[in-house]
Amino acid sequence: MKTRWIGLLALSAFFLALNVLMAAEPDYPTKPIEIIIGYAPGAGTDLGARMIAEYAKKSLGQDVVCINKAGGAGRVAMTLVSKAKPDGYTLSSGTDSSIIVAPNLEEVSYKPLEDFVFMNQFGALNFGVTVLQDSAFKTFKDMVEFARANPDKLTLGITGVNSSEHVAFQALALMENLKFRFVPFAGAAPTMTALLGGHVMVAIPATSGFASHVKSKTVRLLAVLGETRMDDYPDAPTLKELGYPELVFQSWYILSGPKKIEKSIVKKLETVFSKAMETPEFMKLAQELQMYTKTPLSGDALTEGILRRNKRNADIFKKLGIALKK
Amino acid sequence: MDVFGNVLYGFQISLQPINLLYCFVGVILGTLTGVLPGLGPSGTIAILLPITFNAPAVSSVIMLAGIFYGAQYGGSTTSILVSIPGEPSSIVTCIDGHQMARHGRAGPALGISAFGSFIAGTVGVIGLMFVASPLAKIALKFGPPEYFSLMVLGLIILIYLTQKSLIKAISMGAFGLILSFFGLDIVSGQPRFAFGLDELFDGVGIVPVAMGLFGVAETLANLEKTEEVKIFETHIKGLLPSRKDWADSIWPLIRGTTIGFFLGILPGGGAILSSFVSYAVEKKVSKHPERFGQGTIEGVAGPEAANNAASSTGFIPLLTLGIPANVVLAMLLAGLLIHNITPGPLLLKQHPDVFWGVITSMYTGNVLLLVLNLPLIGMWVQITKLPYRLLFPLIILFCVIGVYSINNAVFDIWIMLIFGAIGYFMKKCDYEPAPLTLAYVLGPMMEQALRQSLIISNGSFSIFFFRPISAIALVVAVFLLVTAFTGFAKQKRLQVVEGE
Repeated sequence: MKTRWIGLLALSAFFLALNVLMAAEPDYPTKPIEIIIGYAPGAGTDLGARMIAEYAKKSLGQDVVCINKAGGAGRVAMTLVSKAKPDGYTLSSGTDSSIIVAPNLEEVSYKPLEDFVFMNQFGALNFGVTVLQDSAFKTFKDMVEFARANPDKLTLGITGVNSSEHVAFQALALMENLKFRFVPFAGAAPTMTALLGGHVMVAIPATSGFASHVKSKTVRLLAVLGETRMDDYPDAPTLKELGYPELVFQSWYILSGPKKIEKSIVKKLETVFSKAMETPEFMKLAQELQMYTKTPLSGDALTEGILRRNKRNADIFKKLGIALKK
Repeated sequence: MDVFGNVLYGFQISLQPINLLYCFVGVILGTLTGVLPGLGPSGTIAILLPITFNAPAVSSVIMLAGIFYGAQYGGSTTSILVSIPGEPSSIVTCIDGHQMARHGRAGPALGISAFGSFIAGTVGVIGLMFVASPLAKIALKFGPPEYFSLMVLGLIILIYLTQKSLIKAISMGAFGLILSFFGLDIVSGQPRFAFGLDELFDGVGIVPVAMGLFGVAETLANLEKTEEVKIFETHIKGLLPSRKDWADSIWPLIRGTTIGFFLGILPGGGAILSSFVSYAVEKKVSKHPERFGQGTIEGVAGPEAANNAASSTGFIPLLTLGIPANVVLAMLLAGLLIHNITPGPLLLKQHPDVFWGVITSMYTGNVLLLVLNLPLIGMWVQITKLPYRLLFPLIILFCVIGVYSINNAVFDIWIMLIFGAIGYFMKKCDYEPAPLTLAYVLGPMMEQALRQSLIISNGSFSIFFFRPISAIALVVAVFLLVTAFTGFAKQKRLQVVEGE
């Protein structure tokens, strides 16, 4: 009989303590902040955001919780964030493909350039065309020739429909008059799993997805989609070199929130996130995943960069005849 | 490969006092995490990640791993005592574990679940030592078609075995699948079944649904039975399983361990699926299947062994390939990366201390969990001695706080209450919530695997029949359905279900 009441007392004390802990401070943030990650766990947008969240938690004195909402190449997360209350407690981590790529090709359930405030860029990554170590494709040309001889047989793992790499290869198919079979996954980590298991022939993740696998020599890099060759993989040619000057795509990792968040809160978050990216822990991770950009953009400079890249995509897509007719 | 030497080397690391301490802290936190609904291991690991920045790499990973498998232990405790699964993988434990508690056998139920978890966890770890890298390669062979067919089979097995009315069971499975399609389309990102409600863009969460169907509905149904109070008031005899309990449980433990061991290797859902499959198998092979659902110890031992074996083998794809199977393991991956350790094929060569140290620590962790849990069982049993007039409001309070704490969303509380009402009427009309819940958990994965498979095959369903693993799974599933619907087999199945 006695233990029962002691148990009850302990429980009441616990809930009381919980209430005290939850009692509000006057300044933002007064409750946990949520970062919605647009991809499956295990690759750059996920690990990077979690690392930044750790620092932000210490710095802001509130929990910063990361949640994965994979799907539609980040569009699921962006839709949720666009509908969220603009109070600074719901943010997103994703790539710019849901902002400057997909919306130029199809209707999306948010306004990419009007619904969000872009805070920090925490990575600028190159895409790589990867195959298994023992694949018959020794060069990028081998792959193209296979696709030419076997229309609609080459399976390509992508991180979502109308993601950057998907569009690049749709464009390639148009230029070379090929037909590929694109298999969408929830992010770079599951795409690489499918490649390793032989369920797709080629995967086109960004560096954070393939760096460790190339290092351990389980996959080979046929080409990269950057402007120039990468220092770490001097043997992998760019698609530009191979005769496709339009097919230069980069993936920017971006932290953003709903548009109408108060200016002061946005400023505060930008500063904290920028500081988080200077910690040795983040630098180490960024180096490991090869996602570090020497001069990460933030605030207006980031927005300006996104608008510039959006304009470029819109022009290219129009030229290729795949742009959304508005 | 000198496994024995490696294991010794591993124990040298994991038995160092500092690592033992970290392991101890990890499993205690894990158990607590599992006991409290709403606070999952991923949340706990997130809170603790900053501490690991300053600790040695091996120690911090040992602690984080301890939280992960400790939560599996703790999750079963609340399932048994109050029918609230602390972890999704202990949903099945609610069925018979809670019935045992209501018949005054909470002690043996908790005891067998602790011992079963210990035995399965240990076997899982030993297996992991020997077969980690060959098995990881097999797991990779499971592509989208294999995943889809295996999940179909898992669902059909559950439907076939746990229901009196096949139609009711199938309709519950279908209901669960439909529920799982609420929210944004995983491929195009377009909203489905949102009815213009922004809250539904994210779908209906599994935790509110499960808490409603299991926690709230159970409480509502119990309000009708005043006589049950007496059972809780009687003295709970014996905290440890009796000799007969052991005799009944030993084969379920062995089968559950085996099932969990192999299903756990598959990335995603391994622990959940294996506990359901184990339950179905136990019911099928049992000489007295009519006792399942009434509080039989086999229904606790098998699934508990299965989910623990699965959580050990879940480390295989992470450590050998760098592929995290779920969010918790992804957090572990982040922890490793902080210390400049990349899990993957190179891990064994570059950081053998981490690989063998962590694996052997899981063994010491299992010993610690057993030692820790046996005395604590007495404490948990005290909770069941609470009279219903206090216990029921407390359960509802726990559910409300737990479900609110996930997203800080009042909407989730409404979802939970609505499903509490739905669950109550389902109980009244003999519709069981288990197929609904499993279908709901598997739904998004099934949909994705189905769509990926059909893209790979260019729209042809033949892909599911030309790949051996997938074909076998589907043939078994179809066979089960056909026999269930045909006359003689139907009689026999009813015998199995009703035990007449």
